[in-house]
Amino acid sequence: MGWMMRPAGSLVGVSPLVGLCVTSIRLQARMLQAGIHTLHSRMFITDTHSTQALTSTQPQWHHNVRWRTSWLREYSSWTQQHDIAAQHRAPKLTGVMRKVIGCGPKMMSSGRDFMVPSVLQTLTREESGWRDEPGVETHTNTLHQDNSNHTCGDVMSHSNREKITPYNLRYNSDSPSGSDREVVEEEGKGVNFEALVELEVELNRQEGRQVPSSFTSAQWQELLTKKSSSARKKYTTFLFKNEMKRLGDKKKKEERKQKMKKQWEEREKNKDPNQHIQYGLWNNSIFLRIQDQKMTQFYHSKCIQAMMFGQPLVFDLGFDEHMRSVERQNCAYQLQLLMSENRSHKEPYHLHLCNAPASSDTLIRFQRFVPQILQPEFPMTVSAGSYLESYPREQLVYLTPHCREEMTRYDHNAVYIVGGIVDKTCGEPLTLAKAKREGIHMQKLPLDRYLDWGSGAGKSLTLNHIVQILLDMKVTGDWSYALRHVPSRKLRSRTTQDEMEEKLRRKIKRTNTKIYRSGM
Amino acid sequence: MPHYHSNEFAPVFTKRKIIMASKKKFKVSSFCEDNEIMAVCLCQDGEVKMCQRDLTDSEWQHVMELTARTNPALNDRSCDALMMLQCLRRNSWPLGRSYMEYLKRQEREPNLATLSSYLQLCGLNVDKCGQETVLQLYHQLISRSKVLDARLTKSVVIGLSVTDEWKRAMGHLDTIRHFSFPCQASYNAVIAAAFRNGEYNLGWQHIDLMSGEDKEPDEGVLLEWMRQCRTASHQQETHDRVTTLFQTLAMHQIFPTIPVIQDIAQLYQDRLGWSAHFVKVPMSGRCPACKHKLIYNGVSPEEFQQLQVEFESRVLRRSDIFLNSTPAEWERFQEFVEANKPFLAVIDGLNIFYLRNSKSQMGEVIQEVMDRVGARQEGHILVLGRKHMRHSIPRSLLASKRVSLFTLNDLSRDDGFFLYAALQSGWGTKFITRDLLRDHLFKLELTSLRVTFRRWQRVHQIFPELTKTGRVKLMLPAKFGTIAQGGVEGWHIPYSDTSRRLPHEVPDTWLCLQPSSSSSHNGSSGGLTMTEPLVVTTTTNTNSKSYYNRTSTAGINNESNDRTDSIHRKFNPSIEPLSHKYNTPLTRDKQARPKSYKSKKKTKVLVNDVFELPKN
Repeated sequence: MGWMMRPAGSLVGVSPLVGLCVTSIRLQARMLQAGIHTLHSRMFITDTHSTQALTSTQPQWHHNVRWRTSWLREYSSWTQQHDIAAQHRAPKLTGVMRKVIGCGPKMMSSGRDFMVPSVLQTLTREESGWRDEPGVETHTNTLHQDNSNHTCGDVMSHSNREKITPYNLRYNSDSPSGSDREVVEEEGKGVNFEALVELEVELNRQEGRQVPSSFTSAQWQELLTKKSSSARKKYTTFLFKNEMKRLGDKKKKEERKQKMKKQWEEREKNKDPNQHIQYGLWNNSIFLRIQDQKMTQFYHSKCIQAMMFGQPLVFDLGFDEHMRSVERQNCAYQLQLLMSENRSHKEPYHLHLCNAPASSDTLIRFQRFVPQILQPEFPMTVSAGSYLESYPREQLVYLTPHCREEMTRYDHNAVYIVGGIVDKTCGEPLTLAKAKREGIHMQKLPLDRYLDWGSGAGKSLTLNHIVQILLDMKVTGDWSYALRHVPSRKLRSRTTQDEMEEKLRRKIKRTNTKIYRSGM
Repeated sequence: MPHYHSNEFAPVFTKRKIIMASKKKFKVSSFCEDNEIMAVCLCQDGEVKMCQRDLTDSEWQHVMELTARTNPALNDRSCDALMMLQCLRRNSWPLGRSYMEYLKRQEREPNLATLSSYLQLCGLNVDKCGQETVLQLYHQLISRSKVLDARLTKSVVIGLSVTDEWKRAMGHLDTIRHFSFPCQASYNAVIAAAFRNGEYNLGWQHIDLMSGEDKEPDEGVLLEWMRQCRTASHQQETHDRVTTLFQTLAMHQIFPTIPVIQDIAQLYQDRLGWSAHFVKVPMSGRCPACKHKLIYNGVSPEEFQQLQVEFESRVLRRSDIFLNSTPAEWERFQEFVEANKPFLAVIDGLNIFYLRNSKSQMGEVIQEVMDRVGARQEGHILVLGRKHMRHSIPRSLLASKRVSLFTLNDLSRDDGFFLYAALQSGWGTKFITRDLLRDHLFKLELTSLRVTFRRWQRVHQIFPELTKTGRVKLMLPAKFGTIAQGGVEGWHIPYSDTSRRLPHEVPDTWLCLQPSSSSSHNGSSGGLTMTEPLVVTTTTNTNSKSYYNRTSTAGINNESNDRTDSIHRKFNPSIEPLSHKYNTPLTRDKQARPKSYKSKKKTKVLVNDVFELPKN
């Protein structure tokens, strides 16, 4: 779907190279060595006809809609002429998409459509940080791998990964342990860090601390990134609690299932055998069932419309190095929330994630929540480059809480940028510094002007709250309405009539005393 | 209810039983904090003591059953390690040994965690269990696990350092250093072992190492060194060894505890024949015992230069100049400082500006600084502010050539700038702010730089204080450094009394050591000198009064009025002089401030609530 409209996407860069890509994976490895890190289909460049496209890593995004569609027709005819993509099966388009794109069904059904070669698709999946489903396998030893997770070498060696025996067997008191691992203990230079962490986990378990029963590969990776033993302990405790919660939920679910089954059986028993139509819940109904899929399609069509004609909203994901892993995880979670809130709004934004190469950790975590985001048909733009490449500088407005200027009026022509940071620990004005350096206009939400903030709670908002506020602001232009999304716990509670009267009484009393005293 | 005598063993006490026992005139001063039940013995003097004899199998099982009731972490797998950990926590070797024997009787192999705890326990009680046991346990542990993590390393190091094979502990310490910082306990064990075995250089090297990681050697290490000082054959050698200790104390800003300082005093009195006085040094910096004026020798020129260089890159510029400022502004400021330095003092304008939120005080503070700092010295004062406060400084002051003003953009953060100016201006430039500068200290990262920065700050920061009448008063910094100082003519060692200190505070209790010839005529110098260290926990009013009386009746006639005043203030907290306030309880002001701010806010809001304003 979506790739039709995004010339900057995979197709452009891929199609002249289809042959090459199909022939060998090694070529891609070589390409990566030559400095092309972003081998995702999206990350290719618009320059269709030249192989130079390969050497550039910066994608160029064009937000000009008219140009897009015209390009699409042009491109389509080009592929027809060269008959390159014809050998691949064409994807099916829904009616909505055709309408949105604005090209007739004729053109699409010509049988000469194009698509991403399957080899490249699988590659991009690997390369863009796609991981195995958590919870499936026990942790694998990745210490011997290269640091660069995104090279093709990694992909090649994926199948050869060494499986580790569960550590609890290793440190069994009966067997002399560690014989299968080559650990040179002298001078500590050869000591395996992973072995150390394994030992630490085992000791924690022996001392009755909270440790999960098993680790998935992703969890083990995460554990190995922790530098201090207290951080590792905290993380294992977190995993343990999650595990316990999962077990509890499972148990509850099972109970509920049993209960429902019982109810169902009872209902079946009480059914009147003479009537073949019965109205009511769980029975016959005159309404068609609307499936989730249909809802998604509807929402996505709105998003696609926004991508073509609506206002973009940029998320700057270039702050990965300033966040801890927990914060990156929270950031990814908030991105997921805001994405769903945006698409279900009546006038959604065109969401554009900038400075997000495939290696970006936040993006990888976001992808774990929403696996389709990097797929071409998904109605969201992700680019490795800066927003400055996509939009004129005058149009950009960076929303940063550290600046002085308040956003009094909502500008429908502006491209607002929100910094994709969750800053629980570091209070540095990172977005302010970035906007200052790039010379972008800065504004902040008028939080103090419209809200009565309580003590204690900070004035920081989550990313999804900001999107909700902006969405409502776009539609209504009313700040006091839009700012209803600020959590009420952060605000001072409203005083009741009684409290107000009491205060007034006290005040009058005080003034009277003052007057009385001064009179004396 | 059975009747318990001292040293009589009752197998198991539950908390309930102990409470009941305590009601029957048995005082329990320290019961297990974590509400766990252990085999304990109650004594009549009110102490909980661990059992000294072996427990039988059934007794151990009973103990475990009872523990499992309160501790959910105890299960079949973790019970051994948890029981041993309890023995270790209460440092009871007989119980630990009893448990190991119980395990043997049960034909269970102790797991790694249990072994390591028992090894540590044996290391701490080597006089009871002997070296052979420790070494045997060590070899058992090493054969079981080829890798040692931080916790195993700790117990191995503590175990090994009491044996003849203590040098192997060094190897383990070096191994773990590749992954994490060794803990304080293992450092202490290794250093004490090195001192004990005559490898003095190795010990001092490790003290330097641990100080680099923000760790301090404990009492045991220092006492071990004092023992070494006593064993020296010549008097000169003793003197040299103690001098090494003093130099280290000064270098790493370690304040010895009372047992150590008593030991030092005793050593000097007994072996070297010096006189020792425990004193409280007033803000003037003159020792009440020997009338010697304490000096400032905390920071060497090289260290200060390093701070000047590193401050710019680590605190102000950091990874991105845009976080604090812009490159253009930064360049402009650098040029300005180069052209106008040295300054007499640098004023953190924004900080002073928000002292009372009124414009008049800026002029007041500048005038005060001119009067108090600039009266004796030539030079001009730099006021650093933001553009919006340009008009808040009286023109008459700006017109005088002694005040220069530099304003930053409204989006820049100013605190790095004024510190930069004060540092670049050179040693001696004072700065005026209420900020304790803890975030800047944190950003310096290196311990050596932090120490230098704190020492510099202590003698250069002027602290503005708002009096009740609304006037601004300045508290001038101390004139001496609180570090060990002296030489052949005598030593002054600051030590920490039992009172609580915050990280940025320094103690005002000192040990004054004088060669006997000079001390003889200073022997009777009032009530301030003592032969025992001051143990001041809480200064009550009566206490301070008696101090005051003693000083006044002692009649330090040759001292000026100012001097008596300062002593008076020192021991009478109700008067709270400026200088005293600045020296120690800065946090008290810090805590008091938000309170007043809050109450102010409340009254402001109240009006709004009463006369409800229409919401836009």
